[in-house]
Order: sequence, then C-alpha cells, then structure tokens
Amino acid sequence: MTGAHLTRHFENSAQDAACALYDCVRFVAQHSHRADDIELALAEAINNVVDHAYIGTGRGTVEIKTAPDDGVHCTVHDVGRGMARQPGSTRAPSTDMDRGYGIPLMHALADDLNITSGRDGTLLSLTFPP
Amino acid sequence: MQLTLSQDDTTTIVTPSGPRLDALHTLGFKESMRRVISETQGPLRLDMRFVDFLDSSGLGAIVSISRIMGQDRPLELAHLTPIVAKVFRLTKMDQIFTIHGTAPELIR
Repeated sequence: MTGAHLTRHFENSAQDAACALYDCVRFVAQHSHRADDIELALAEAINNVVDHAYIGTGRGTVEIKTAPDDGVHCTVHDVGRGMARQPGSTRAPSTDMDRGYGIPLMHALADDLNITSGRDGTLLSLTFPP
Repeated sequence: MQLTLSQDDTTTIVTPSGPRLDALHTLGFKESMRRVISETQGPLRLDMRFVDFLDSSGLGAIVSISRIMGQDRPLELAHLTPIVAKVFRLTKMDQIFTIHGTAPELIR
C-alpha cells in the first residue's frame, strides 16, 4: 500500500475555505482514524489564513500526505503578511477574549505543530500519528 | 442556523439547529443570539445536541455571547456532542462554563 497526497488551493473567503476543508476531510477520512481531530486542526489552520493572512484577495494551499506507517502530514501555506504573534499552547481559561483559541487547539490536537511566519507568508505544519 | 427557544422555569433554553458552529456560521449565530438576549430575561442555556462541529470561531462566539450577557445573566451549556466537548476540554473552557449532561444518543 502506497501513500496518498492531496493539494487543495483556496481563496481568501470563508466560503471557499469551508469547501477546501470539506475536500480535505473527505480525503483524510479514507486514510486516518483520527479524521475528527485532523478536521478540527485543519479548520483552525485554514481559518488562520482567512482571518490573518490577507487584506483583500489572496490564496492559501493545503497539502496532505499520508503513508501507511507514517501517519498524516498536513501543511497550510499562504503568502500573506505573516502572523503578528504566535500565541503559546497554554493560557489560563477566561471569558475576557473571544479569539486566540485556534493555535492552542492545534497544539493540543496534533502530535507536532510547527509555525514559520514572516513577511513572505506563513507555513503551518501538522503531524498526526498513524 | 435556526435557534429554537423553550423555557425551563426561569431559564430560557436555546437550541441551535446545527450541525456546524464554525467560521462560516458564527456571524449569523451571534446576531441571532443577540436578539435572543435582548428579548429574554434571566439565565440562558445553550443546548448543543444538534451541533456536531465547533471550531475556535464558534467557541469565540459563545465566549462573546457570555460576555455580552454579563455576570448577572449566566450562560450555561448542555448536551455537548463529543467533538464539541473536546474543544471545551482542550481549551479548558469547560472550567469556565457550567455544562449540563451530554448527548448520549449522539456519542459514537
């Protein structure tokens, strides 16, 4: 059994982001028993592009690679303005803020999360075990 | 997303039709909830039995609604489905909100 690969581009809109997530979930469901976790983590990564990367038009790309003994590797990439800051994986629960839960959620869901962000855009890499 | 309202003693129970409270549906949900808040009195209980997906946008909307209601009007939650309960647990917001029961018929 060989690995599988999906590349899905999406425009900077909530509608297209939702469609991209749907396509990713259909793909992941065939290759991982952790499809629910991956769906939630990818939703956060894709939302991150729509919420922060661009003022106006732009595009993001999701890539998913699976291998039978190597789990699921996902990247979400944009060429936008970068992230202003990268919140930590933990913070005290509070109702003071209604944003900023996305990256802590990705940290909690993925076995490994790497974020590279700068003036040329942002790359989020997430790894899930087999 | 439609909201169904019912009453349990002094608590207004709000049941979103679901199935997703995500970035695409958060704005409409918040607008509908603002109307409910202005048209009712006393505590609100959000019955989440039909919501099977919640992301950080949806969680943020619930937090925002809680803040709009203020300390004098509690916002409670009920019947969280498994993925929704997981989001509350991972973000530790299950320590902030009063959560009643689960939705046993929906646990897989």
